[in-house]
Amino acid sequence: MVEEELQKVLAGCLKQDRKDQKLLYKSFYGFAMGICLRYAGNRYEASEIMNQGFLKVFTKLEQFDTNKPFKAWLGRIMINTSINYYRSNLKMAYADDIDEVEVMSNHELPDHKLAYDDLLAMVQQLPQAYRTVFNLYAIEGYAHEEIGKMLGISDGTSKSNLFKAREKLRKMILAASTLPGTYGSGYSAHDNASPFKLNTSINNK
Amino acid sequence: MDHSDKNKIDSLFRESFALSNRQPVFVEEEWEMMESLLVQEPVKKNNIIWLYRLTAGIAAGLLLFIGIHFAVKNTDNGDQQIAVIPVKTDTLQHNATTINKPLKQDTLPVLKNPVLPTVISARDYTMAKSRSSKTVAPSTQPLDSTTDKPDDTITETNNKLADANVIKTDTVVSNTNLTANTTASVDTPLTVAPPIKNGIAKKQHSFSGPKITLAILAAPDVNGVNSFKGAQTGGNFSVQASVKLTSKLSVTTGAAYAIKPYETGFSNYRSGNPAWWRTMWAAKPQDVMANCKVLDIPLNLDYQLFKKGGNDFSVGAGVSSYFMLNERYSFAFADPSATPAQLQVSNRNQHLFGVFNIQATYQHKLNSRFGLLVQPYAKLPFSRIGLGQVNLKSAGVAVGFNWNIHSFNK
Repeated sequence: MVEEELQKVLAGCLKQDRKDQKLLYKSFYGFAMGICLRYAGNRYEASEIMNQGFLKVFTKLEQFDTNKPFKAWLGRIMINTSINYYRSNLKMAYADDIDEVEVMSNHELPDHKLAYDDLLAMVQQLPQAYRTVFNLYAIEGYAHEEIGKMLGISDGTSKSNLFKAREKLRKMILAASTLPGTYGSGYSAHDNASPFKLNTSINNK
Repeated sequence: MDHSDKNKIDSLFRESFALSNRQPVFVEEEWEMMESLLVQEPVKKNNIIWLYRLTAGIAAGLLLFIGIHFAVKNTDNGDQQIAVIPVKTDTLQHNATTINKPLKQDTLPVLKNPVLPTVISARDYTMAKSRSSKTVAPSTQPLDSTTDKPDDTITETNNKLADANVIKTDTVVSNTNLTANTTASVDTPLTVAPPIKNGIAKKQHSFSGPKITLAILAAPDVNGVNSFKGAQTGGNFSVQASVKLTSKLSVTTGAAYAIKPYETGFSNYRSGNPAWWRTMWAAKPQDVMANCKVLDIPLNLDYQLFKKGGNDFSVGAGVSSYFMLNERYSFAFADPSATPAQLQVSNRNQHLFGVFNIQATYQHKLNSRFGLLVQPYAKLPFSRIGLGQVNLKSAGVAVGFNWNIHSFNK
């Protein structure tokens, strides 16, 4: 969507015009869902998070500074909504200390690239607490101090969860390289089917 | 895990997620869920403004209708009238007015002394002309003559003519083929002339405006989804205005505030669509209890079946627009231990001309101004009503009073 068109659509959304709201939703669906899928455990949860995020967008749009890129604002809302969605679970999961998890595997990672769907499926299999920290640190580029503030945890806990997340992912990548089709083969983020069907039968397309 | 492995894992995912051109494809059902979330949002100011505008539009439309009806009625009387525009005498004294085309408001013959009529009937004009020794001698020229030269000039003023109050221009044109080449000068101020005393018909027009009746009604409003089985009773309070189109036909509009409670199975509520309820609850509700406050704007046509003495009976049909002012819902779940979920929306749903009305009206005149009304009615929706998109039917018997505004004009 070009900038001029985006401004018109945003103006319509400010007037609660349903057509413009749908157009905005449709235009940024892929981007928003892409973020939510990384933070969510499955497509259904991602859908719920994304809609909660868009609800914030539509209801708080007057707070958006039109001089700044809309996509970045939308992305931040999706991330914050994802964090809020799992907030209670996140706090419960942060029990480990970094010293307890310094047990490493020395297997080397394969060089070949894995498909997006496979990697997404791996991230989604991480426990919520690990997944959230991994996303914030490795994908979004936040520092542990910032993550700690965002999630209400200590820097150490953030580091610990990131470490565990990496270790789990490493195992998954190794498994995928030795057993092709282990990940991603049964679940696609691009599936056109209803999210409800995916939710009830996640491994069946 | 060494440092390079950490970076390798991070960059593997980061690059894959960032560079992948495979983005999730839009799913329509997810937008439907989004819409239902939006529907539950609080009142939006612009919706209220829109509602006010619509109500004002309806009121303006009604006034326009009454105005048109009023104008048509006056025209139909055959007494086409034209008003005399006040004339400055000093101008008239020096500039004789010449009229060489059919009479119009701005080209009336202006008569000399003693007084000018405010409105003159063409019939009076013709009669007066025939009686007058030398007043207006009509020209035989065609009406569309463009000659500025006056054929006749009124040099003597016929008092009778001057006294006439109404002029019918259409009669002037058709009956006498008169080209109003009439010039007159005035040297006295304009005054309203007294009535004619010598037998020349005086057309004192009486304004007979549209026959408007106002009514105030209240009714127990019985509501049910799909049928009236297990119906709930609310209330309906309305103000109506009726305008008589003919002796038997009248049009009615107004506004009604209705309280419409109902109870139905969840399968009737948004057709039990899982795309809707799953956005809010883990389990599907079993029943819905609703209480809706509705502004009902009806537009009905009534036909008088009989009138005897002070009683008359009419039947009518029309459409209503529903403006859902407030909708409260309570969803009960199959699990008896589960707490019913509450949902409330305001000014969210409007149904323009979405409801079919039928009614019968019995009126008993109490006196020349007031009457007693009893009005059984039913309201059957064309469209699905409210947030739940239900087939909400209503019926009741309204009782109230009406007030014949026209009685004050007599």
